[in-house]
Amino acid sequence: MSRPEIYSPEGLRIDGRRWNEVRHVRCAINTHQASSDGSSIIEQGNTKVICNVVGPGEPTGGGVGGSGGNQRAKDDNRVILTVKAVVAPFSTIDRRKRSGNDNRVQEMCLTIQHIFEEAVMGHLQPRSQIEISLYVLSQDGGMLQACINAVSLALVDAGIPMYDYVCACTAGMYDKEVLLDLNRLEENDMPFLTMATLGATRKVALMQLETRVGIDRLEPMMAAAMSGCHHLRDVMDAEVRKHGKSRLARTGV
Amino acid sequence: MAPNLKPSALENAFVLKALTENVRLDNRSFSQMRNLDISFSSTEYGVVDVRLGRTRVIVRISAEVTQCRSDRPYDGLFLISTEISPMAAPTFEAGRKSEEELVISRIIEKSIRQSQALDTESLCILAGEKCWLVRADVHFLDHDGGLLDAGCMAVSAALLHYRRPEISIVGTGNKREVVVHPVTEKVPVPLSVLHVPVCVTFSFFNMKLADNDDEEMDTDAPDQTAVLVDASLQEELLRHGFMAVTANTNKEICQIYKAGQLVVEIETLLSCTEAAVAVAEKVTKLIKRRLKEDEATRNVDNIFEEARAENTRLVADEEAIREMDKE
Amino acid sequence: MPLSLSEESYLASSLSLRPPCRPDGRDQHQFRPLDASAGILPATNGSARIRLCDGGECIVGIKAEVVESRKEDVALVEVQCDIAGVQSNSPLHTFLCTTLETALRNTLPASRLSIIHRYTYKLFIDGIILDHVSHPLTLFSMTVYLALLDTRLPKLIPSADVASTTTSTSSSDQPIGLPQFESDWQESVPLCDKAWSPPLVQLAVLAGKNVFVDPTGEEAGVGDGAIVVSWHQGKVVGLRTVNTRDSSKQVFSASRDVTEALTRVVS
Repeated sequence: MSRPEIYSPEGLRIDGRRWNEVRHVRCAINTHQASSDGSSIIEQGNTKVICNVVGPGEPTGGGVGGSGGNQRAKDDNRVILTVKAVVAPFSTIDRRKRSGNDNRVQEMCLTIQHIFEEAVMGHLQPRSQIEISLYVLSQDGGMLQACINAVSLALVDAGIPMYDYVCACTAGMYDKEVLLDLNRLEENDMPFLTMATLGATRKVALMQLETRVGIDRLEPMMAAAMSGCHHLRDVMDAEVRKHGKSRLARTGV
Repeated sequence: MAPNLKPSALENAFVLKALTENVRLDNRSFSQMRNLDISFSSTEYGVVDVRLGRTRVIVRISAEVTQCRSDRPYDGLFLISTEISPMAAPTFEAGRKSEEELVISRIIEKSIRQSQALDTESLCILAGEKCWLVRADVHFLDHDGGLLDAGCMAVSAALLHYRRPEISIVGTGNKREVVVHPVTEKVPVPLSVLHVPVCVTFSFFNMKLADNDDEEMDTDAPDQTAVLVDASLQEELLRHGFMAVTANTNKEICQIYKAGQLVVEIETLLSCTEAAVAVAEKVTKLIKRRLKEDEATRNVDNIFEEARAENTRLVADEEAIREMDKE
Repeated sequence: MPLSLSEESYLASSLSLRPPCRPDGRDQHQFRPLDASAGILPATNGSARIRLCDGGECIVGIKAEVVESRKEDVALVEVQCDIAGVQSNSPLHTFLCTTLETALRNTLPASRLSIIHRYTYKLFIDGIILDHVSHPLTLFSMTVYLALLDTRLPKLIPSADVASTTTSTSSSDQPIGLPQFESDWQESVPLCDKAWSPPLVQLAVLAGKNVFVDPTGEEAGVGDGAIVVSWHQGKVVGLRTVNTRDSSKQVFSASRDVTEALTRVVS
């Protein structure tokens, strides 16, 4: 079988998208009413993540940050976030068991914790704890972005006050073409960055680049990623509003 | 027993207030690094002592011949160990990985290993059988902020300075063996370093918090972020967010890490990456100069003139192997 | 929330009545309603998700890998799980995984996984228990059962090489005769058919002389003991007692009732 072309001269990608198209996003909130206070499922292409949020509640201690991080939060009278992520061994094409203290997964948890410590109006719930659990069921590129979006939705569902959605998107650079929202094949083949913005603003909560890229390529990538983030915000907002409407209809208001 | 390093509220207010007046407590400008000093061990190759202000990091490179990994038969191995011991600062506990240590080790890993600063393919000796294992042990001796930057620079410099022992392959077919010649016997060879990554950390301060301690965030207000290069420990503890950018002299960005905390306008981030390239150029120049000085002290009687021939000798070896294979 | 002492004793006595009275009004052999779906993850060979009404949820994905079968004693099934809120490698993990692993290894004929004589499939069954209020064994086993039913293996393309490899004595590291598979997933063969269906492991709680299937967390807490029954194609293939507080004799006398009850429920 010949190697599939990442970006054809006609401007089509492996999965038939144009450069500026994101993958199909399917999201739902309030999917696990019985087991959590807020929950969401998000599918971005073939990447699928479930997020459960429990809280705000009494702090139990522990968590990713360890006691040190929580101690600081207690001193500051701020909310304590704990993030746990489980990356399913069957989520990749070849089965791969990641242990719970894998550095990459831990780093991701820490990153998500830091993002939402800033996005949540923490001073409104001093010294209470919000537990976030993430389950990555299927990976096809953009695990971090899907996790961030899932947490955003689940926190909204849990009714936790936030400044805005935190929405994340990836963008890559193939030769001289910017491609938005990469899948796994594309991620392996080109430098890309993950960006998260606070709502539809120009404020960046997260920016991560893990591959070498010329500095002149950075700006177009950042611009594309940002527009992707803004698009995802609209998608997520539409879903939350849709859910809100159906709930209102049920209560008969 | 770990004493809490957290500065008091008064210190916090004072530093922030000073920043609104464009003053840093150590009288640097916002984009000025502390005094950087790099020195190499006079006896050993690949031992580097980096001092960034009062922060001090020592890196030691070592190499040994081991088995190749079965899934990567053409690659050598490269490990970076970054354990922060209580020697750097009493807040670090031995054996227990703190948040900071996790971030530092991941960023150094991404900056140097994932950006392929060391050509791992050149570390392969016999495909699928023997390869070099290069280890970089980072020892953080004193912590006054900027452990990450100092650590990254030190690893880069140490890789450039290190010379691995010369090897030759004896025997044919399945009975080939690798003989490692001691440094005293044959002139050791440098590693193939493709580029020199330099990590620069930018600390962000939200200046709105300087005036009133009210934590209410106004998303529409214009950005009031102070960006500091190379924060001291005190500034590091008080900052509201940071971004670590690794750049090299080829005007390439190897890694960007900005994870949460204070949200910053995209333009600010972009100008930071440009500043990082400038810093990388300066630091690389210093590393190269120090390397040259170091070589001059070692090469007193021009004894390394022989070393120039190392490449031709390597080629000859390879040809010999090829001939053996034919037989 | 833990029950008070008096609540506990009330529950215990109402469970040991004849006929018993369960707090949720269920029949002795009645399961709670559950929500099950299969084939949720396209990147796996088989997957399933089951959610209980108490919030318990389990997701199982099965991956089949081709391994060389020449090594003796190659374990063809590996079960691993991850339980939210429980440290990994806890006794609960070991209990869940080994129970299911034994049940599967005892009932799954190796011929079902063999491809050609040198190669065989190895099944990796990984479960994530997102939340559990009652004991997760029944939930986990049901999800694995469903995922196995959903499991499909790619169809082998019969090739001429296969015949030649059987006779040739090629060295072991030469991948001659690697099985070729149909790339069309529509052509894949289901693992389970009429001749074999997966085993199911159930936890039942005893209270007095009564036996309850699908116990809630509270029921399991006040019961006299619990038994684990492995059931496979109409037969009980394994029986184990766990957590027996007292009167193991009573447990065994009741175990026959349980197996009967379970057979009725499951079929």
